[in-house]
Amino acid sequence: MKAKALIPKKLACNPAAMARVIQNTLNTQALAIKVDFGVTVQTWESKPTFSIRSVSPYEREIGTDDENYSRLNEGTPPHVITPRKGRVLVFRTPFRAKTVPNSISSGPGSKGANTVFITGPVNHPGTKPRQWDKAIKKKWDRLIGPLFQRAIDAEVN
Amino acid sequence: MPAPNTAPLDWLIQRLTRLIQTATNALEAEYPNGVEAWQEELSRQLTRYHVAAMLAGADVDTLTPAMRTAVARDVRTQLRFLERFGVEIQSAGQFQPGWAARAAMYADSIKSPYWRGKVKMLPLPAMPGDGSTQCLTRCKCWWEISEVGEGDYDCYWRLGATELHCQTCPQRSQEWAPLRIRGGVVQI
Repeated sequence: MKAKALIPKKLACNPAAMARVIQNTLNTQALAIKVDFGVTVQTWESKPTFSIRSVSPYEREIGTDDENYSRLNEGTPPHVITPRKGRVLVFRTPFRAKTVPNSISSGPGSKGANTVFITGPVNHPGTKPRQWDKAIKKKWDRLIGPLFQRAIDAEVN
Repeated sequence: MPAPNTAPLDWLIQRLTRLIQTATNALEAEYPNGVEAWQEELSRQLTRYHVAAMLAGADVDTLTPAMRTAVARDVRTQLRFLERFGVEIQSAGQFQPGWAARAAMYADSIKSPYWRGKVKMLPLPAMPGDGSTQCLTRCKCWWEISEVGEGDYDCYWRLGATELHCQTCPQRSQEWAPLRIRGGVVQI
């Protein structure tokens, strides 16, 4: 990520202060990113949890272990869904997803009023990748400059 | 803690909005001439009001060097957007109805320096109205800051007094409750 910042001389010569600037830049960006991930699941019934990890002094990792979230984020190819032996598949239509690709948001969605029972396999068309990680990264890469400058301003103010 | 009194900010935004509207009305009357004069007038007023907003937020009479740098940077960003807008206006064949409303939105840009002054330049991840939320510059939220020690702060993102909120602000109010700064370092 490129960032342009104005660094006062007295700060550039102060390693401890510069270390705080870098820490604050990374930490504030990580906290803001975590909020945006939370927004993408805000209307979900079973919400994944997100956490921030300090991988190194200069890296932060924000993520979730939730497999459903990962599947939606990456998307799924077309696939066949087969009911287990002796069971039926139940769908409600018309269905509207709570999330859409490349959008840092989540809506109410709709399961529909009509219930459909199917005894045989169905061809699921697959799910378009939501790419929340890319959308959030793009947003906060763009905003890293102001975060860095705010961290600098806090040290010299 | 009750919502802070943002009357000074509201007053500044109102005045700046009127100035922008006056300039844009003049541009509409002269169009396709007058774009450069309109840009100059908006640049002048945006600079004045960014400084005024920082002074009002920080409740001081003069800006520290760090505050001056912060204001200069914010103004530069707004002027870059304004330049692009000016190019768009210049190259269109007709004055567009939406331009007046779009120009008026520049007034909301002074929320950011106001809040930076209000929170005493703490290294917080966002300022109300800085465009990082779904509600963009229409954000009415605010920071509640409690100093709990030297260099230690508990910072709360509080929802503004409005019935409808975007999704980002309630999420922030839940997660940044509080956002902790200890020894000058934002905690994760």
